[in-house]
Amino acid sequence: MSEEINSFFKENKFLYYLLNFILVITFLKSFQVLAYPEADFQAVLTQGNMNFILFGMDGELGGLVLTFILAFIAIILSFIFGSLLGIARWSDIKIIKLPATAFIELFRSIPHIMVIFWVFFAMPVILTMIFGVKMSVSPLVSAIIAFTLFESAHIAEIVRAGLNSMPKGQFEAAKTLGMNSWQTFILIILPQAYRRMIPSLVSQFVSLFKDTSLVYVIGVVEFFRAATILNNRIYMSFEILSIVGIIYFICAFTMSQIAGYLEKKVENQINS
Amino acid sequence: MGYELDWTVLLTYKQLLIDGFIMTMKLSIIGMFFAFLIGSIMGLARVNKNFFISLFATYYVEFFRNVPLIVQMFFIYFSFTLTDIFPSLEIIGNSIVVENHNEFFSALIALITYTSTYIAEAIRSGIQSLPKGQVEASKTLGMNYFQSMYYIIFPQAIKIVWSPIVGQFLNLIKNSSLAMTIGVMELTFQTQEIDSLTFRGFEAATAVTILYLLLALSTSFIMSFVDRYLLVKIASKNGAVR
Repeated sequence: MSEEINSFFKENKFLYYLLNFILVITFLKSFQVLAYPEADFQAVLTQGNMNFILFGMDGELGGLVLTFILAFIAIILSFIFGSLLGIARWSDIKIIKLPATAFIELFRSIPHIMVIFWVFFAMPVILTMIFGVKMSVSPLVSAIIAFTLFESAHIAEIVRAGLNSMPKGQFEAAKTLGMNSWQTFILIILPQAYRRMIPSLVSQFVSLFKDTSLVYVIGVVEFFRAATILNNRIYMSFEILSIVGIIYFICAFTMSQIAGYLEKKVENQINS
Repeated sequence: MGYELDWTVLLTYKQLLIDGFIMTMKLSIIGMFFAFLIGSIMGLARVNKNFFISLFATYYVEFFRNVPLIVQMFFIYFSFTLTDIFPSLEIIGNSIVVENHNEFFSALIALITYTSTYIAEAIRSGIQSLPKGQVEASKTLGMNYFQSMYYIIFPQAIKIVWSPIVGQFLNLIKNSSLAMTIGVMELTFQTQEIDSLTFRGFEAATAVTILYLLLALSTSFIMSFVDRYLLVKIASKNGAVR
């Protein structure tokens, strides 16, 4: 019976998506009716409210746009630093291997929210101690620095795993062709290793995108902070937070589907 | 214009730190237990032959995995009064000595749903990595579905994916710090408390960071102990040593 259903939906992809769509809508609606029958989405979904949580206040950067910008900058910076750290930890040179290991282990084992607090509250103190001048860092800049710190630790581990997964024959073959170790590393090893890492990198970026909601605690008016500000103004928490959850779900789910697609593609390339 | 460090503040307010540490421990231990339980059930449901069971498990996993934890916490905390809906939570909360029942259980439920999805994915991949012959062999021996899952498949799968699951447990401990945003008085919350009482946030944050490091290290140590002794024992008792 269930195998028949499975094979039927494999042949009719469109019907499968339609069924999923209808089921999900039914679930969400029945949950809302059971849990919170007096929900009034019309009052929340006005032009002004939506403008505020999607684009921020007039003349200021904020809302979902700021979330995307924050995620984008953090992705680029943490990719660069993470690659450097990962290569440093993978290498055999003790003098760069030990600091990289310490950095990665430290930032992987303290909570993200603590890192954000550290950068926001402690960095001005440290800068004051070093330079002797009172300095302050804006919330947005410290959020970007905090994300770069802990995400590059996570990405470094992915890079190291990707480099470790390279078969030894690649090094030996490059040596046979007369390449020195730099040439081997940059021309042969890195391109292949990055291709293997793409799926896990994309899923790490998805979790970075979800983590941008944490900068709520230091007052950057991104999507989640904007939603809570709206909630404090009109106090309709069920409606606002379910809309926020659904929008986060759509963005993150799309990205994780892309990650799954890339994973299949990369696996096919490696196996062929 | 330097900043004078004053570590005595930690001794003066050590009771706050101890309370916060105990609260973090409570959240993490209860959370780990239920996340593992629900995660195992959902992981098994995802590889179930029945089309609708696996579809619903997929919905659960994909939905709670792709919504940020802080959004789930806020949704549960601000939309519902849990102690009104489930009065028995009052009794449970009193028995584990928690003061703010609503905040604690909102944070706990969000942590459990969020972490259980990752554990479900790990267990699913562990089960799928087993050779198909294992299921067929247990069927040949006359076992029904639950017997073959309990005695043959699950112990082997859990042995393979134990280290990702431990990683998720560590993530749960780290994520429990988010409970401060809805006012659970755990470790990170107490940092803010000390900071607002004395303006000594730097020292408090250092101490709390070290406590988190200790917590993470001891958890991974205990879990590797579980891996080495307990899981091997379970597997050998069930006769499924690989």
